[in-house]
Amino acid sequence: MKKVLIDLKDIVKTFDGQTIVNHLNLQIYENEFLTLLGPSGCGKTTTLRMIAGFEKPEAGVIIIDGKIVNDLPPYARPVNTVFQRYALFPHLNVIENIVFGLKNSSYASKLMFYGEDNLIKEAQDKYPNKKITKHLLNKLINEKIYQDAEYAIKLVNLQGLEYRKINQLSGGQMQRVALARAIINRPKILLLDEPLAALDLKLRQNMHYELKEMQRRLGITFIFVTHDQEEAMTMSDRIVVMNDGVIQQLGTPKEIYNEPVNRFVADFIGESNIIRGKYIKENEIEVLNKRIPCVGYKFAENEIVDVVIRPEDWDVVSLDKAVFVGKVISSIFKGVHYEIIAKVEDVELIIHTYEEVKVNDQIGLKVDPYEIHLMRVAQDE
Amino acid sequence: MNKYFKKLAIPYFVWLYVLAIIPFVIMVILSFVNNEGLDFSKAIFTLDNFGYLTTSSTVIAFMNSLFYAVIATLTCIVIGYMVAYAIFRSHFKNKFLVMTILILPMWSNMLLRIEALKNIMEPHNIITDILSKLGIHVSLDIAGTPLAVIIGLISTYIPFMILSIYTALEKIDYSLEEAALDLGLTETKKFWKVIFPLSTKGIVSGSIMVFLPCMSGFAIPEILGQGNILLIGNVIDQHFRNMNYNLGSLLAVVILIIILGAIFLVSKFDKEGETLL
Amino acid sequence: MIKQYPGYEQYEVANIEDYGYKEHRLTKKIFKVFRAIVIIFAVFLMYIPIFTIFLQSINSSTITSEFGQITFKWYANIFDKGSLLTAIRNTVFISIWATLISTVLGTLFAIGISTLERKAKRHIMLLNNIPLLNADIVSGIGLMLIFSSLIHIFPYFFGWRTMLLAHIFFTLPYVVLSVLPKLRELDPNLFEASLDLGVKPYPSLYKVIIPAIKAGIFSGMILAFTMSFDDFVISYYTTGNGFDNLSIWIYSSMGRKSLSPSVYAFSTLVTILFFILLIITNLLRGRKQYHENH
Repeated sequence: MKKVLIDLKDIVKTFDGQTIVNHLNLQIYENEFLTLLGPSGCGKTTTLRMIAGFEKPEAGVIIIDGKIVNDLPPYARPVNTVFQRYALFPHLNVIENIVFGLKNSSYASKLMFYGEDNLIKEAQDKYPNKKITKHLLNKLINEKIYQDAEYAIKLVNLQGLEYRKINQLSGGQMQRVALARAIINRPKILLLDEPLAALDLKLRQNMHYELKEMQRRLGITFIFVTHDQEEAMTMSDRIVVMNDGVIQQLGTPKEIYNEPVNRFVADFIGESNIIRGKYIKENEIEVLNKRIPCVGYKFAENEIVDVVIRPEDWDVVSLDKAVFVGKVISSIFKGVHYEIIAKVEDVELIIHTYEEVKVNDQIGLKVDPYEIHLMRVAQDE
Repeated sequence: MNKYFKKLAIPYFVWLYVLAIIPFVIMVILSFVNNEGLDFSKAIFTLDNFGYLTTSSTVIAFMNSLFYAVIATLTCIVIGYMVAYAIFRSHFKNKFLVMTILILPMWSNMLLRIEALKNIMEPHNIITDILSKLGIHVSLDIAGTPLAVIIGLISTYIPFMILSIYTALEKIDYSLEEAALDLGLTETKKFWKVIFPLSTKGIVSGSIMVFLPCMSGFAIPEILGQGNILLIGNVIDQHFRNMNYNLGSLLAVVILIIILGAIFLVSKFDKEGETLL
Repeated sequence: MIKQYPGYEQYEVANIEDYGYKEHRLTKKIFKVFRAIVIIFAVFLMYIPIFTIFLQSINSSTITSEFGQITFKWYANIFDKGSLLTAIRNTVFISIWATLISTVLGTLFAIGISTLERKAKRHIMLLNNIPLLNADIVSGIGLMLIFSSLIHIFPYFFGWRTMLLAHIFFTLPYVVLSVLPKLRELDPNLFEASLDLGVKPYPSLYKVIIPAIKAGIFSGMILAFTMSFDDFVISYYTTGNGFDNLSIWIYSSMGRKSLSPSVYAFSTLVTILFFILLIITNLLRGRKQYHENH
């Protein structure tokens, strides 16, 4: 059973009268890659900043490692942040930025960090004839800090750039410095606030793999904030989909993709067709005026449901084998597949297929019963 | 925009050369000659004027100027930084209003303000008069003392320092402060390791704006020092009033060289040219 | 003094000391008090002169060290006293004209400078700094010397003409320095867009560039006027023919010990006027933002 590192209990945060985070409850485990995903203004960045200590919740408690940290200032919290625009110190070079946190901590903190007993033992081994003084230990600590920095630099692939000035770095390089600067402090939790937003596509995609690898290697918890669902799907162990300050769904990428719990999540993640239908009885639904089999859901008889079918789950078949027949309104070649919009029973469906289909043609469609997902219809929909 | 408007700058080159560089040349020439006023017809080349530089009164005046300028500048840095930082940190909705409060005294004529200070520094003045009518008896007797001159210099020039430092502070990206806190630095450490280093441009440009006028001004020392204290500015003024252009020019040239030296040093220190204003 | 969290009593509250930090409450308090004292002292130092001026302006006694009764007669008197009024008029005349001319020229020069290559730009910026940083007295003397050499051509040169030229000389750099940064921040495509739409270069300048940098022009103008209105040393050395500006009048009156209290009244009026102007601009700005937000 994984240990709970962070426990957010009933967190409420308002700005200017608007509720940005609305009674949020979330448990975050050790050694996981968790993503807060949602559109702008959903509260994901605010939640992250509350964990970091830059904002204080109006209500609720933030528990880190079993202790309530609401009033604990950011410098004392066992978390480190990678900022969206990196926030690298312009008056320091790369390596000075990286060692900044460790070098400027108090002597007591440094002793705690490296372990006082270990340090003394190492000093005794290294300088056998000298008296163990604070000065000596400080010297040793300094050496270790710079060793750690070199290790961090290797981890983020910045070898050779140690003495560069910050304004001579590219966006990708700056981002790595920001990462190194954070992880050298060995935080249990690393917070990343849309750190890849300013990078171009190819670089961003590379970083997805690098970050995931890093998290696995370091064995710490990454809390990643983004509005890009592809990013979230690629890297996360669990995704928290948020909207209007409320968690819409919490689950693995697969769960979120295949079993969205509501319209928002279904719409936000990937593309999908959401069609109003009816659950007739077990294993049978009625949608688009046809009754088709559907496996794995239990609702009340004749209950109105939302039927979710992903564009790639539609099978394009010849008209005689088709269950649904529609007319093609648009057909765009997207590189990997064709994106077809077809009208079936007055409903526009998005279909992804590898074969070319021409506009104004008729199209025959079928769908596997295991690939249909049903969602309860909310009261106000 | 380039090709169309380049020629707009040319008149400015000419203007500056005529009114800034040529006078300098004239002053240099005057330093090397001995003549009446600006009549060069009987001019003799001489190095006598340079001998004057080493006389004790000149050296004392220079030392005085340096002394007062340095003390005033340092005091302005310390006090000015605290004020600028307090404004920067404050939650005043309206920093503009605070800026107004700083600039407001500058709208009053400087000579008048200095004269007002001089009055207060005498034992019997309008304020002690009013206070004594209310039953409070205080008095200050510092008119004519070095302290008076320093107070006058600080009172006049500290707004420049405050504004300069404040501008530099405002330019610091707030996320840098958050990053420092996030990395484990306390507020105090964050100030010394992040905010202060990034505000040095403001301190330097503020110092220039205080130091140079302090060193070369003559009105403030003349009025508040009541003639007891002579700075270089006073000396130059006296020479010119006595039509002794040669000595006056020589001293002026020396001051100009010092100033140019200061500008040069600053431009070495800051390559982007951001420091000045 | 540990904060309580009702409903979550079962959890321990994190203490800053657990993480290796100390609270330092007392030190912080002491420093706060010290800083407050310094700030009050600084504000006091900046304001005591104008406060004293204000007192003098309502002082019925002409002996500056005594306070008679509260009176406003000096305010009315401003318009009676011949030499003071002349000096005020001269100052206003010079400052307004110098400001107007410098603002226009300075803006054009700044535009020209912004198009120069690095070397030329640095060259002219160095020259630009000379009037700014040069000691007043050196500038004043320099201008006097060069104006003197022209006296053979213009015998009555010294007077308001030379003072005006001098004021333009030292206010131009302020305008240039205020406008240049705004030019730097300008969208580089703005001008080209205007040309692309068929507008010729100079009209484009007027219609597109100038409006975009008007904040810089405005602040340069204010700066120029401030510097000019208050100037003493340079004006002193570049005037002639009895053309006094306010500072020169004050200086000579101080020397003759014939300072009329009306000048205090005038100064107080100017201070109040500018204060009101700043409040108004501030209110207008606030109103504009309010409209933009709603």
